[in-house]
Amino acid sequence: MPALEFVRSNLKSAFRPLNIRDPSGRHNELDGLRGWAALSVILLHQFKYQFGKFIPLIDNPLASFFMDGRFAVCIFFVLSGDALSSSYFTSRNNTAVAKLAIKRYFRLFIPVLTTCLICLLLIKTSIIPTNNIRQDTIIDEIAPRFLATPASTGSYIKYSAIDVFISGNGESQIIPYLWTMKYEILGSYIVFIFLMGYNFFRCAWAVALPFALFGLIGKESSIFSCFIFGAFLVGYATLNIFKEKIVFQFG
Amino acid sequence: MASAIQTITRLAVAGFRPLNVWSGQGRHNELDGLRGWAALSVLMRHLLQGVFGYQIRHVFNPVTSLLLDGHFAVLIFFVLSGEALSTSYFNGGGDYAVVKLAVKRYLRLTTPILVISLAIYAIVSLGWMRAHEAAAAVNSKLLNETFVGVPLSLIYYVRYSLWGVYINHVVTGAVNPILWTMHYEMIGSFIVFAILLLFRHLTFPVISVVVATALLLFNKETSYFSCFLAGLIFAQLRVGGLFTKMQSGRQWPWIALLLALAAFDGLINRLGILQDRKAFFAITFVFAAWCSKPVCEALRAPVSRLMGVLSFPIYLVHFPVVLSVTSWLILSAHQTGPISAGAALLITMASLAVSLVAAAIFVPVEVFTKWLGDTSARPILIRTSAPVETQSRLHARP
Repeated sequence: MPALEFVRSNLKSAFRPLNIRDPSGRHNELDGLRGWAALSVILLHQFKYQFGKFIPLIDNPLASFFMDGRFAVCIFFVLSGDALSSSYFTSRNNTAVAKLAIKRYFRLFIPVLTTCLICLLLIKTSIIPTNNIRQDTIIDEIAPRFLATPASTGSYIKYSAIDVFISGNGESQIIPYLWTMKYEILGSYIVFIFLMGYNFFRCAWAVALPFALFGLIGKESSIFSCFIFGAFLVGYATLNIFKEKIVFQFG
Repeated sequence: MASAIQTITRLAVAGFRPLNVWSGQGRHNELDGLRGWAALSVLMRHLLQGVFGYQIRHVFNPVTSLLLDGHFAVLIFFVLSGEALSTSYFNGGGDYAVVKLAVKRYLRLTTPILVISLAIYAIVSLGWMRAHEAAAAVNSKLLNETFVGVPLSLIYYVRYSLWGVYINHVVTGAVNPILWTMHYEMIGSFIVFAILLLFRHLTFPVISVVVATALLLFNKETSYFSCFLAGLIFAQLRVGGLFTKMQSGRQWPWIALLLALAAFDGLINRLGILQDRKAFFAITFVFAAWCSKPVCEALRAPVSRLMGVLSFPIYLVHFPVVLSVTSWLILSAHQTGPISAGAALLITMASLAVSLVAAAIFVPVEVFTKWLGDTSARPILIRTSAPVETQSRLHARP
């Protein structure tokens, strides 16, 4: 199949800058799980939210798991904690964490900005209708928030640069599905602070894990627990953390 | 009279020694002083505007506007928090100092909040909470909106103190709506910690923080965080000796700037404009205060430092005082007819006195919190060999 081979080789070269295919130092299973979780979110938004009212069959126990967006988002957060801390636990180098911390904002801001500007372009060209919105779907809830922001370049840039990271599920959300960004940036910086202070703890996990478990009680705080558990997974896999610290303390 | 004041001051010195406020060593007492007066401003704002805004409206004029500007005072709190949290890093404590503060931060804020929430629970359970009846008597929005969506459940109060207070920053569901600031206080503190830990890794750290501060000023909510960053910069400038240098120079420009800012704040409050831009004025105000020798001397005076010791307790206790004592006084005065401006002023003064006494009684909780923070940080933290390498950029450079 030369056509298939052609497509595959082109895809390979196109994604090379993202380092996805490079097995050295990259945990591909993380990318894989993140991908399926993203698909689950799309299924939720496109099927359950859009057509759930018309086709109740969609909302069955089996499909429910595959369209559990909240669960998928929590997986995202665990994976973020894992991905953000893996470079630290492999190198034990604070500079690597600092580099990630400085890049983190731009890593999130630029794709959000691009998406918002595409939205704006679609609104300006009337491809996204801003009137005549169907009132009987999930758009019913989303549209008022979407339309609350004036369709101007300035407001869309401001939303991408600031509002998306602080407003959560507020009234004025250009892309309401990005409510996660607030937690993503806060959770990321909690992980960075933890990693940069890691060396100053006798056993950092003896502090972090009880906090993370305690956080599971609250709905919002449980999101931050996901980040800590993600970091713990990679910390546990990379180092024999408990043994190392006990030897340090008593050895 | 003089000897009585001396005795009271001496007792206060002895009583508050565990808080280290009276020791000049490593502590910038003007920070405590400014925090104290800012707390008093918040208290007066809530009493005069929040409770009696309808009765004594003429109290608000351009002159008193700054003194009673609670929102401005809160922004000053944020600047001071940013500075206080950064001082030990720039004084040579390095990353270890930051991590130690970060570990203690949650306990530092949560312990007093939990105690005051339990006190509020006791007040409500005993039926001493008369806020809603008093709200009708004085047409108070603050009293009327209190305890909307707050069930009388001990678990709810504890849960609110442990994390709800940091997550929910709206009045609905808040056990203590005055504590809407804690959401920003906690996030702002951790932003400061993150930046301090990144500081030595940045090529242009000060410029980066200044640019971030300026950018954050453009949004109301992010402007709160810009105050914390400004405080961080002030801590570095202080260690660099800028404020000492400024204080040895001409003083009138700083006094003039402070007066101009006060007048401007009065004006914008009067006109109801630029309310979302106050963070910039608060940052400028604190900067001008630090550059002014007479202002700093006034803030270092014993009375200012005493107010500093009482600042967080005042902030915490005045709400239960308003719920119980103030409301009870309002209802008692209302029995004889509508409350006059004079009666409102008397109730305000009585509430102020009760709040100050309650704040002084609350000081042992502050001492316990400090002890708890130190005691819990000591066994879990170690000074590794890293601090030599992690000294702040300022000290690492010749």
